[in-house]
Amino acid sequence: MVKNFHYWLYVIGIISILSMILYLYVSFSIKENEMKENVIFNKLETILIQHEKIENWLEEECKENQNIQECILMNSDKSKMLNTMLYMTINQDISYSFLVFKDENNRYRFLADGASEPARVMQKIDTDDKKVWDEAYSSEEGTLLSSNKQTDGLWLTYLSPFVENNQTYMMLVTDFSISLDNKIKNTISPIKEILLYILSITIVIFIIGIFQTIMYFIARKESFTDQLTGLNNRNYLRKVIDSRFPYDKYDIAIVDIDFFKKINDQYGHDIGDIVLKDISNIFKKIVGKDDFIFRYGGEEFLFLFQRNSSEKLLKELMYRVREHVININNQTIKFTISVGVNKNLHRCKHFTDMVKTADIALYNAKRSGRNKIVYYSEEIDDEKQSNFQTVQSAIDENRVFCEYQAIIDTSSDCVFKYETLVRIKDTNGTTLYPNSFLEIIKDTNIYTDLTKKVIDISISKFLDLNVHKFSINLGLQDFNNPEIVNYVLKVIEKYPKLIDLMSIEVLEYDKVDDEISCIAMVKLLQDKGLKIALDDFGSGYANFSTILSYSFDFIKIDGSIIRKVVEDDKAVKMVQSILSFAQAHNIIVICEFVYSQEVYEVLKSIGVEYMQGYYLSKPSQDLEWKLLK
Amino acid sequence: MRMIDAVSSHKILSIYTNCQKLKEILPAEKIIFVDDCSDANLAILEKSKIEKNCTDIPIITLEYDLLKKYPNSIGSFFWQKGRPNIIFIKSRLENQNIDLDNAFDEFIEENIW
Repeated sequence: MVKNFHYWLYVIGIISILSMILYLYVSFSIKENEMKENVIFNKLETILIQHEKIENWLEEECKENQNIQECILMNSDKSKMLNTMLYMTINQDISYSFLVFKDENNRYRFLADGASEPARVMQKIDTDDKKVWDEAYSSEEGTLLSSNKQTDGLWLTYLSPFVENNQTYMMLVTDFSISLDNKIKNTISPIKEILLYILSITIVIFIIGIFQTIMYFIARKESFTDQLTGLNNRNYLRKVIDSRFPYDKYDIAIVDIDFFKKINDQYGHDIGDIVLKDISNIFKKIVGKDDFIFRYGGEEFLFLFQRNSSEKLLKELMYRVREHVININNQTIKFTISVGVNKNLHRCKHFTDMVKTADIALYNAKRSGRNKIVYYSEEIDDEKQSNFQTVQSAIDENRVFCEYQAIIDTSSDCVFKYETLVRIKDTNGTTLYPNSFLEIIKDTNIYTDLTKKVIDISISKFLDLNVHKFSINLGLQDFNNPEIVNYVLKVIEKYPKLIDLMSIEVLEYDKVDDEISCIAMVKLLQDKGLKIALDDFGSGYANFSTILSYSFDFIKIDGSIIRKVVEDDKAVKMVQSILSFAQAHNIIVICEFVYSQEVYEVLKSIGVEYMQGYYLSKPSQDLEWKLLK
Repeated sequence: MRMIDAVSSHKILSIYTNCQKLKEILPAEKIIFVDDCSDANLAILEKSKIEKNCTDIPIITLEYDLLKKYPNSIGSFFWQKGRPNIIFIKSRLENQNIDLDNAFDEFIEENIW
């Protein structure tokens, strides 16, 4: 549509130019003076022919006379003949045509007259231009003189002397108008007016078109520009990375500002914005004219550097950012960046693969301490890359599915709720479990996509049944991921029933970067009504310290403790102490890894109500739970 | 008007004319237009209709051919080929004892053609 609009603009522009050329041609090329000259020239040609005819005729008729004046005056027939000859020239443009001679008193007198009622021979004729007439009479050349006697045209008089032996014996006087000129003007005027209208309309349309085009380009520029940093945004990235992009000449780099969330939290978002702007300005100064830079995410930037200069520019980038200092309220802020680079873009089939590989390198840079550049190495990351692709293709090709393991309320032997467990089928049909892929895709967009997918699958499974409760697993870091938190908020807003049906089990993979916002997000979801459980309590970071920070509704004691309850009394005491702590704080305790009757009996004996494990129920795609014990 | 002044010695002219347009053109403060030629001291005539009562006063015609029709016409003012023409007939001026200023010499003709 926009392209067509431009074509129309070109067409209108061409019409404008053609109209202008035509108008200028009609206005100036067909000049009034030239037209007059042409008309006059035609008239004079007629007059001169007439002059020649008369001259020839008189030469023949008066060859025996010495004086041609006398020849005419003495013979009325000749005079009448001349009248007739002159009469023949009279038309709508030639008004008067008559022959005069000058007498001894220098008065002009008629010899012949072409009028229908001719003047009398010898009759005197006065003229306003006597001096000019006299000059014309005494010269051998014809003289053209004009007078403005007509208001709508020009009256011209042509004085054409008849000369013999260097003496003028009479003069042909022809009065004519160039009213024909008006006819031409009258014909041309409408054409000029039409052209002027066309020109005006097309110019107006052209100006509107140009205005629209400018507005379009401004809007396009805005749609391609990140408003905060002035860098290109993802829209522009999508435009740039088409099949014609010379990937073989470029390296891709993803740059992340280290601990940016802390800057935001400590100094506020306004300062965070200043940091983003400052860093963007540093980036802008460094990149070459053929390099590309995009704001890819919150504090993530994507670069497409020309291969031959990328390493040097990246080092320069690191150095400049490290050296840059921002002064806020007498405080200096310094920051660093982590960079992931892929120099082998040509080996990737799609741009998403290129970004993924650079993302892996960025992930490695962050994991290995940040503030560094890590290049994607195909050899080391081959397996990772393969796993990435496995998960991504499983998401794309709907090979992600869930199994549901019941958590049993042992007081009633009923299902308390189901825990949703993600599974992936690879292309061979083999089921892959989270331990084989989750760690690899963590901190990547694929992880986010997978999480959303699991939420969608669980909702479609449980929502319509409206009977069973279920839980989904999220990492504590996921509460620092606005995309995941927003997605959860979105689904509970869309399906309010979920507040009663769904709970979240928090797996604490690592210590979170930004615990304050993590706590806030957990509380936000709890305020919405969702129940949150702490999974794997007693292992890793999932300990009493975590419980102090968060207000969990459930805690799930880790299997590493439960498996020992049969033979290790300390494990039993540990569970008992957790139970008494939980009861004191109204927290429900769930024991997982209940794999045998012995474990079940021990836990039951110390008052554990909610249990999960292969002894009670195995994970299954359907919900036809059957108590196994 | 100069032409009329030239042929008349009267301070106030009484003119008879059959040309209505002339009555609108000539200045009323110096001229009295009369309806009968016998009351006039100058006639200015156009067209070929003969004014029978205008035989005793000088006449200025507005057509050349009328000079022949009015023996007492002394001159003529008319448009010839889009140009104003003035003619006074010498013998008739003399007959009527009219003496013209020298400025009009160029318009005085011996003959009527």
